[in-house]
Amino acid sequence: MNESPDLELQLREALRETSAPPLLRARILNAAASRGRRSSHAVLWRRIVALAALLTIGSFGLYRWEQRRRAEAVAEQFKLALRIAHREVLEVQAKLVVEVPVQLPQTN
Amino acid sequence: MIKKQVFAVLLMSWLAAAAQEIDLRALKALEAKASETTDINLGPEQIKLMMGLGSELAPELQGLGKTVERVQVKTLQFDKEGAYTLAETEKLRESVMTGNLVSLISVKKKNGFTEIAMRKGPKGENAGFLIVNVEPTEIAVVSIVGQLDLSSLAKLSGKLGVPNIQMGPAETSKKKGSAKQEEEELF
Amino acid sequence: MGDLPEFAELVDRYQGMVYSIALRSLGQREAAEDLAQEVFLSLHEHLHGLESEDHVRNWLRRTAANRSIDEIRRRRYRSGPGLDEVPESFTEPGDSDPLLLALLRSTVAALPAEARVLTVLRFQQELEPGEIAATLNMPVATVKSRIHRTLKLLRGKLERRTEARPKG
Repeated sequence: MNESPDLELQLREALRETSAPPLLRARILNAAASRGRRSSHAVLWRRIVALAALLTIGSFGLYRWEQRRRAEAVAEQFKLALRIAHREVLEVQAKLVVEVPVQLPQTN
Repeated sequence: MIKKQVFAVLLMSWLAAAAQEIDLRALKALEAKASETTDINLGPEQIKLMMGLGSELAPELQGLGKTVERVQVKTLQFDKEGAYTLAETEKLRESVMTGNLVSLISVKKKNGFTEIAMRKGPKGENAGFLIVNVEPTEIAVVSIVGQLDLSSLAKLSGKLGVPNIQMGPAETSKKKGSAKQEEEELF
Repeated sequence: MGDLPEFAELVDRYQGMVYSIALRSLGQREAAEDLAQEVFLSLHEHLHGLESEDHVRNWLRRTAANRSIDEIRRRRYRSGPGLDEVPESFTEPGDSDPLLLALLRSTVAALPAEARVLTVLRFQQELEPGEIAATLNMPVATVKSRIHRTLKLLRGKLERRTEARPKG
């Protein structure tokens, strides 16, 4: 590697480290501060959007679950109503046969 | 103009829905004395909600959901006789026996009465039925609005949790209450 | 961050190093300033992952070198290589021959991207071939051979220049 010491010295001189321009420091620090602000705003907005999305999805899921629960409750009530109607008709029929021999007319 | 039309349509549909609902306020005072009550009132909105379950519903229930508009059931059971007077139950009869009804059975006794009536639509078509059964220790009111009659109800035996008992004179010549006992055994 | 100095202090200490690597690699002051800014902004984002000042210095050197290579390649792709990118000279006080220094810089500036940055790391940053190999992620043998070829090329240029000068 030391085949041409003069050339290497000249090369070191040609490429030697130089001082940075006077305004570079301020430029870098400003850019970092600005990016930090943007980044913190972006993080805040990302969090807000994520929270809003979570709330929306959660609310929708909860709404669907509640709707389903209510629908199942209605179906159960519907069936109970039919059972009670059926029971009442049977009771009336039984009562009429025992007490008054009357047959239920066919509707339709 | 359009607003008025929309209002009129909304008002008419509200009135129609309200008209289908029977007035059970006469039972309000008796509820406190009852040992057991059942109260079901399903209107078009609830039935539509139920239909949202789609194929998860039993086929019979899907069919009924399409034709039945309102289901009202109120039952009161009392531990002892004499919890109510005939005058109170008469008030109930007056309040529920309204609309286009055709009486099928109307029996009065000294300690109660039974009314079974068919509902008729504007063109005389079947539009449901009403049952009011007042006994010494039980009051039951069942009102169905829609295309469900008593014979269709009978066909539901063995389905949807309805006990599998044939409705008809030969099958019903039993002592009073035996049907209920049989139903309870089946449940 | 541990015992690391504040970001501003790191900028104070290493802006010269980063800027110099970029300047001698790219050959343009503005481009070098832009690159230095990007390197320090990247440091700002990655500072939490760096443990010591040595680590920071090596990180800055590696990032500046690799970004310089990327930038050289990007420019070459856009507009092709050319000495028009390189200023005639960076005149600085000293006893050296300014024309010789300008020739050396322009010759280095005409080298391929990796060879150019490698030369800067060797003769400006005084890194050993092994350190350069680690910085640029290439075999030590490749580093050595490229340094050798670069010196040979420069020697040829200097010899031609000497021959071309009027004797006396």
